[in-house]
Amino acid sequence: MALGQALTLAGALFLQPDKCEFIVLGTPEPTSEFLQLLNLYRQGVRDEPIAKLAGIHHDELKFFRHRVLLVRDMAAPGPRRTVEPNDSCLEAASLLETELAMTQVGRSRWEDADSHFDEAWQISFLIETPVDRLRFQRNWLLAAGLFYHQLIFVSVAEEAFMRAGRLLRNAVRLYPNDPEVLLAAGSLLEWSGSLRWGVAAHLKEAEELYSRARRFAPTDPEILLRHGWVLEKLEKEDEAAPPLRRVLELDARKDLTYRSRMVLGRMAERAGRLTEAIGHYEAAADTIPSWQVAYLAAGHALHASGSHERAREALDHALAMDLKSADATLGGWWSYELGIALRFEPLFERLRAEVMR
Amino acid sequence: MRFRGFVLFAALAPATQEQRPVFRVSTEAVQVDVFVGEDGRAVRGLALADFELYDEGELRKIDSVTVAEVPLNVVLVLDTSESVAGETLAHLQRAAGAFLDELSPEDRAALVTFSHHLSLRSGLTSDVAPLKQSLEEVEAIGGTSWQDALFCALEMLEVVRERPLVLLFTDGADTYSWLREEQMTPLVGSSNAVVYAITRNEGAPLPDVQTSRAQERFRQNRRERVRRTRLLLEVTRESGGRLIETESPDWLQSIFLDILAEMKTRYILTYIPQAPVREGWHDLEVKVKRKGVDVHARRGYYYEARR
Repeated sequence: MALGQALTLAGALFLQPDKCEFIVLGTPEPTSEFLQLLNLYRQGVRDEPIAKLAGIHHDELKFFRHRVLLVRDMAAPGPRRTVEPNDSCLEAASLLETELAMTQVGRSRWEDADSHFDEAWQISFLIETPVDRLRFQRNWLLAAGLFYHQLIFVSVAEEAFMRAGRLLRNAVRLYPNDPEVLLAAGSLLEWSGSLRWGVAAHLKEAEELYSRARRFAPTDPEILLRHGWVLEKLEKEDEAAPPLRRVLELDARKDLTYRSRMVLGRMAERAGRLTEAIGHYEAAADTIPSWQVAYLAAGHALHASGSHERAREALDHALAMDLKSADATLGGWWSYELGIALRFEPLFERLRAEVMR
Repeated sequence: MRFRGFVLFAALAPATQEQRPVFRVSTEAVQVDVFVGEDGRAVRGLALADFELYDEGELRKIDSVTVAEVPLNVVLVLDTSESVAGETLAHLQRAAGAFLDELSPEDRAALVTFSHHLSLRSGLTSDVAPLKQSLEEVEAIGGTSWQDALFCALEMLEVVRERPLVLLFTDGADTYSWLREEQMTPLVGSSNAVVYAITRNEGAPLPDVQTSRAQERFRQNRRERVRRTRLLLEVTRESGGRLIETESPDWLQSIFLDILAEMKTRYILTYIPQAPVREGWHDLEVKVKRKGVDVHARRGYYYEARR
């Protein structure tokens, strides 16, 4: 063993972290800093490794990372393997890259973020146990896609939508029978297809994804609601009503019941069945009294029916609602668009928790 | 039986301010709130003989023309979504405040603000002090739902007999309204109110980067601006009001004050339709026997029999 290699090994052993049991031999460049930070991350310390690595120029960081990953490449010349990195360590490395990507997004450095996300995805292929790899990649794709999806709502729609779409479509391609994946991808396309300046064809795509999701989760109220609503948006009202009514029969979350009522009300109103529409809107208001839109919708239907006094009562009530008490930030329609996207955070938490075990 | 639409009920009707008017052929009259402009300025001094009014294409006898000295009932409907945060909101607050200061003691005003949430900050009142206080308290947050807000304002004015006016400011596309675009024009058409709208038009900046994405973003922004403007134009025309676009929030105050001055120079034409009145929509057209003038008046009214 050359002197240089021995010294490197000695240094690496001296700094060898407890849990991430691999070191790299034969490289004159240090890898210990990256390993140390990786282990801190695995122990649940997030801010320090992320801040430190985010401060390193991307090309330099790539170098560190490659030194680590080379140990997995048995055929590669040069550095030789001593102890193989375990799957948990690779998951941590992938997640750390993901965190760096998100940090770069926070700085609006989209291309840098793309590189980190790409690295994270490539690292995930090194996870040896197939079940672990599939589980990790499924959750990672979903979380990363939803991370970009929620960014759409903080004024970076174009950049975020493009990336969210790429990640979620990839998830659908790899996990075509996973209702949660189909729901997430469908919600992104539904959002895009529902916008006035959006892509109308995306509504149809969303409908297909929800339809497929229903085959694998036929009593999931969230999928039923979204499928029903997207059918209503596509003006297939006969097909839209059954899944929406089914939501009312299930013991669904209040927001899902509320929205099913609202969409059923809208369809009834459009068909001129104003009494039925008013009934749905009033039932929605009873379900979540602090959400404003049911009162507005009832006001409009009552106005159309000629019940002007009652219309004004409903609108007076709506207008008197306090912005804060109405839970308006996440209540009402915001939570429909944003709700699924915000699941990126619990997904990442789950992934982080798994590497800490 | 009753008129819904632009129809205001003449002094013979015994209704009080807060009662819904009831159409009675012998006593009821149709009133049309008209602005006549020339080169952007109000044309004053017109008399009955200067006007022609067509109901369903037929020339009708106008019974009276008055210059609008009747008190105003104004609902200010102001965008407080996130996109107006900062300088625009400060200009908007100043503009609305100046508008309130210029109202006559007999005029009444209300304040509705909207983001993704609608708030009635103050109901119709001739005491502008609490209104101005409310203006100071608004914060800019969230999305935009001007269509829902306009509907609420129109409904508030349903019970008002005298000069109902909506002054709407929005600087963004509607993203959160329950009501859809196609519902707005009929709603305005069935209301008594004249709607003025002010919107931001920051021009059409050319894409700074000649990439396909930049070009597409440019085209998308332009399409959205055109679409938004078209709907606002449609609803304001339907009501006999106007849409004013401004490139800078610096000009909001002068625009608000110009609108108020315009409201004070409008003419009110009154005529009594001859029975039997056909149920349904009636197209209206007001002409002025003078060349080169612009006439802004409601396009029609809806008459329905009370059952």
